[in-house]
Amino acid sequence: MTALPATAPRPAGAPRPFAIEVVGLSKRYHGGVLANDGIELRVPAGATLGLLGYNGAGKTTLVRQITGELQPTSGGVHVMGVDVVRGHTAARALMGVVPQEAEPYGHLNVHEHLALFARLRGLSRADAARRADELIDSLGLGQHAKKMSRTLSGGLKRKLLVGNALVGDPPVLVLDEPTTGLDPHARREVWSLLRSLRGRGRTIVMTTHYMEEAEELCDEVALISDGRLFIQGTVEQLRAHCRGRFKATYDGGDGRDAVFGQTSDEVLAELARRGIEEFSLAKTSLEDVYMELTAEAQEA
Amino acid sequence: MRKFFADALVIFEIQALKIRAWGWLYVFTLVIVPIGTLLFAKALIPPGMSDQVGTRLMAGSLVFGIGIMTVNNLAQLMAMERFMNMMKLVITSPVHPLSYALGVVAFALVQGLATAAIILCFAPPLGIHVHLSLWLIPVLVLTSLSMTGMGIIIATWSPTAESSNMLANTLGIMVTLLSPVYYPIERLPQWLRWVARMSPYTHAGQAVNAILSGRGGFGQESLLLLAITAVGLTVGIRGLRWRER
Repeated sequence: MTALPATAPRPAGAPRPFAIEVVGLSKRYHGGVLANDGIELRVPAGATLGLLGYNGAGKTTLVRQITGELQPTSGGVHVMGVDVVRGHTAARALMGVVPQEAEPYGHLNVHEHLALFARLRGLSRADAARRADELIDSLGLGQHAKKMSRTLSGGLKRKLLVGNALVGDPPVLVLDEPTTGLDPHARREVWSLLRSLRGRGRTIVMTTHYMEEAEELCDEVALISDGRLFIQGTVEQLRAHCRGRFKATYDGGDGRDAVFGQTSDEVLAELARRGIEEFSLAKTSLEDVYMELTAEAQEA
Repeated sequence: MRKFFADALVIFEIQALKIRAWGWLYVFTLVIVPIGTLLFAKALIPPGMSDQVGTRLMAGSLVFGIGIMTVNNLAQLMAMERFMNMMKLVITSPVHPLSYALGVVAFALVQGLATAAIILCFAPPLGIHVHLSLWLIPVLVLTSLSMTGMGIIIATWSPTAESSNMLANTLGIMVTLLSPVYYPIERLPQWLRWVARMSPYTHAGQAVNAILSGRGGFGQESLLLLAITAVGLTVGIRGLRWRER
């Protein structure tokens, strides 16, 4: 079930309205594991899409096929109109990628790392050095600029990898758990940077286990379960598929209990019927939406 | 095309900066390996060796020293980058896989030539008389490149880092022992001679020996080495696994 309306067939030669188009994408690994099954995904230019799913759902497999790191078994991926499978070098010039499992070159210091990878994006030596300075500043890596990356903490390495993805100022960013391992302060620094990129029209696809992160940053969210993308839409659209857009929690004696409803009045009425006077009321969180919809998808 | 070579240069720089990190250990390896090879070979020769034996000894040490410093190091370097997930950063950048291959091979080549230069410096103190010629440079370059194709395939196709190191070392030892550089090919059993003739180190040893003896420049053996190197590099580059399937 998808919350997006089906699109009409695109006339030949017409410009693609989406920055990322995934059509019928499947990946079966050697050994027979079907990690992605017929995934259809379209990300509008300038949008930020969050990919959510439990561990092993197929998020990273999908992301690796979008970035061209992994060849699909069937189906196709286009980024800004470029076929990722056939034109992977050209496609990668359009994307900045933070892979889930990646290590920076330990023998390079932070500045060198960013400058060298900026040169791989076609910047001159001087421009690459300037770009490295800008990113060190915006990522708060100033006091670590001359440190070898092998001496950095896990969180700082992750920041460096985010910087690495941004060196070429690409129109599309693909981030696989970009803030994993970062402390809350560092995470907010990265969020701030991603928000500014979003404001400048960058298309961002990110996987994350932090629901707060997806709610803060993403225009749309797509949920993956058992290798299938079963729903995509705004958080509000996803809420509409749940048992309630509003949720009240209260102390039920045996622990926390919850009441859901499509409107706040509905929730308040139910609370009054139960005689609950102390409660907290808010919109259903993305975590609740995720838990409910992935459970339904697995049962299906 | 310009970006192709520019990217290869960046990859070379990334590799070359490892020397700064390795420091004295790198210098130690660069010096000890070739000298050790030379001294070991010399120890096997009875005292009062002729010039002919001396140049054969030097040729063998040059070939094997270059082999160890290029092929083994190349395979281990690429395998380490692949299994420690550093190669992902390059694969997800707009870098052609051949640029990456050219950059790492160039670094391996520079190491091999540095090794050769150190070995040649030790010829006079060891009483080995050699004839130096500019033809030695292209032949040593070909020697270094001749097995890099195999090194690339081992590094990018091995299932684990350990198996990659084992294969690279085993291949290096096998080629070293089966290449009649220190001994005439007639000493090998008939059935092993065809293997030896296919080994680039056999032809490299003979080509280098001919140059060091003053008997020739870029001759027939060098042409055979060129052909084997071209085939080996082509196979290696075509076999370079860039994207996971």
